[in-house]
Amino acid sequence: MIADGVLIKRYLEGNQAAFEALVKRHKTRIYSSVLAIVNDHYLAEDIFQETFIKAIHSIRQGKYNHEDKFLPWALRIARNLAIDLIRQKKRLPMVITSDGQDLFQTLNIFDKSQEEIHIETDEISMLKSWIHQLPEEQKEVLILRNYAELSFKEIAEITNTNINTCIGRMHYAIINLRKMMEKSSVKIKY
Amino acid sequence: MDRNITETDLISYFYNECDNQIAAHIKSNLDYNPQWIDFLNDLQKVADLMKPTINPHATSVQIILEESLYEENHSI
Repeated sequence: MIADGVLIKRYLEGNQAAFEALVKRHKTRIYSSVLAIVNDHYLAEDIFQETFIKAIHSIRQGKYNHEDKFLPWALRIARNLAIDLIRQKKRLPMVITSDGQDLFQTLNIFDKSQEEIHIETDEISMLKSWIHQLPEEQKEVLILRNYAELSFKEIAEITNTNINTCIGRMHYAIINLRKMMEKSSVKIKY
Repeated sequence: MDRNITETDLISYFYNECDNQIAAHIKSNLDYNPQWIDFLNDLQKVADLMKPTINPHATSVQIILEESLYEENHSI
């Protein structure tokens, strides 16, 4: 496998296919992580695009100096964008429908692929809802470790903490998820 | 080992980020510690359900690739 740093170097030399390979390599982990953080397909698509556009600008301006660590770097950009968008969304007045739902959430006209619908089992849906009940810092470590497959060291760098704090947050996340599983009628199979 | 294994050790072990000595100790004593196995099973359960499987829409990828071309054409 060609290293990220080599692909970026080739892209800067004019090789467009190298950049396409970089996008192809990381798109699923970045998008899955962003979607898990914001829990909204529209926002996730926006953040995903904006992340790569910012990355392109930085690379072309010669500001990329992370060698083969493209994924943690891109996820740091994505995380910052997600935090900004969530803050903006919180400042917006919520439009409540007659049945008490947030209008923004009920306008779910995003077309899920057939594959995605099949994947959305009860277990995954339950886990997603439990994850969104976790404190932000616990949720973040869980997402970045599992969806993005970053090491605790990389997560510590992104979140400006240390490895022990990250593992501690993961520990509390698992404890809390265990409690939620025990309370729930849906049991997660081994 | 001069200390007890904690659940945070088990987290590091599960994700292959554990000190070699601790990892060897956990591995050789796993069969005698069912509570470790339970905890590792919970980690596995969560990891199995949190696999990165969802792709962005093809339009998003297209926009990014077009942007990468645009930058290239205008910066030379």
